Amino acid sequence: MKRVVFGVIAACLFSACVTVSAYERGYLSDPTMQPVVDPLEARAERQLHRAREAAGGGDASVAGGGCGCTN
Amino acid sequence: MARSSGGLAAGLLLAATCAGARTHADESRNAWTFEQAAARFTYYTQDGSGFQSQAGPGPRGAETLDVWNPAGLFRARQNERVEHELLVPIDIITSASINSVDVTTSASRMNETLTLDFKTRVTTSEDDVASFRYGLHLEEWYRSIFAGVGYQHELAQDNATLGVSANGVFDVFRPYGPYGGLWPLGNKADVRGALNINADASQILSRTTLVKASYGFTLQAGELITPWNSVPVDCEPRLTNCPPRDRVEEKFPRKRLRHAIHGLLAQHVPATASTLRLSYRFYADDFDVRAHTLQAQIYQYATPRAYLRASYRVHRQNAVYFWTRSITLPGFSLNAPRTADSDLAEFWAHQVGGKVFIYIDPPGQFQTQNLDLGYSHYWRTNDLQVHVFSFGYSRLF
Repeated sequence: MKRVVFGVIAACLFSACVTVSAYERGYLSDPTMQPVVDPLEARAERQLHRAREAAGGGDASVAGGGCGCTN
Repeated sequence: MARSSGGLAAGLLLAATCAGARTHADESRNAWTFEQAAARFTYYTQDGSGFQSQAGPGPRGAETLDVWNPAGLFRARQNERVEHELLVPIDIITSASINSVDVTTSASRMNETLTLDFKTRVTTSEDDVASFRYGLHLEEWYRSIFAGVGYQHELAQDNATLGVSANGVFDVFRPYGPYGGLWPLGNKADVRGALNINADASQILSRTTLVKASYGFTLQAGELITPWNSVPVDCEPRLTNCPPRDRVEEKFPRKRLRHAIHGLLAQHVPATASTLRLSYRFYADDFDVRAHTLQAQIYQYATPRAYLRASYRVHRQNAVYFWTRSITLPGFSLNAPRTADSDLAEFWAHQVGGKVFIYIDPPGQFQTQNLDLGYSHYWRTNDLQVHVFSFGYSRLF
């Protein structure tokens, strides 16, 4: 696990030397390449998991009601 | 905390809005353009059983429920620098836990919720965006307000982005009486709050590759239980005089600190017109929960106007340290933390799903309208499964 995390961080750092110009970002502007593809769907998925798993919160979303069932 | 951050966010929002109005007076005359409206309807049907529920002949009660979840998203631009977004989800939940220990409210039988989630983004320079989030959540048994601020900075000709955000949530439980009435004389309100701080970074690795990583922690304090959950009570076999009840309410520590790290890799493959997305999340908290979540999604364009998506998600967690199937009386302190909630137990969870997405504008026109239809199946190894159906529509103006 540590190697995977280290690998991802190293890839980010080393790749920072590579600059992709604005006119080369056609593929990156595709909706499927956005960090959040569909905010409404993402919210519904988060609710599905947060209400049924103990591991909700701690991410960039508002952490809900905060009860043990992670409403 | 949440109150002060709410006031701060409101003040900053007002200041930013006024500044935007002054420096862009000409634009604000034309002002306010409506840019996007989106709607999604999601239906969940769940089946399973858990020790926290009394709805069954044995110690494991039913967890059968249905959820109808319509939601809307509206986005408008005030001027070149200021953009507003409103997210409005509504949840209608039946049988959250039938016949449970809360015979007092109808929250366990039918629960309706409404959230108003506002977000304002202010572009402060070519590379910087400040954001403000604020809203409220209404539910039969509690009221909640939340607010947050965020800041995002772009680097290296927008090839990298760094962001930080902080959110606060404050809940007030509406106490309930023996017949479901709200605010009866003699009842006290319970409260809980949460503070959430996050940092994230995204980086373009190539013309087809994007990575993003984030870390966040959430500190929660106050009454964290779910009022309608219960814990089975066993009678000590040597006793001839058993306690008169066979279930007690769950009890939680009054503080919880959660940590999560998340990584995303998105790779577009031009040759096949597909996109692969891989994400991993590690979670840890001071209830001794450790969780790993891995998700893979493949988007495949069938035509330039339609794509299919297949996804798989696996989640593994261990139980909170005070999880139990039952407690034994006497001998167990009723002041000690306890829960039998199956959501907080040890399990594996899997989810597979598919989605069809279509642009519905006539050929040759800009793609401003789309429809999607999705289905997924979520199941856990401790007897819970959910079928999820969703339908979405979005239009850009």
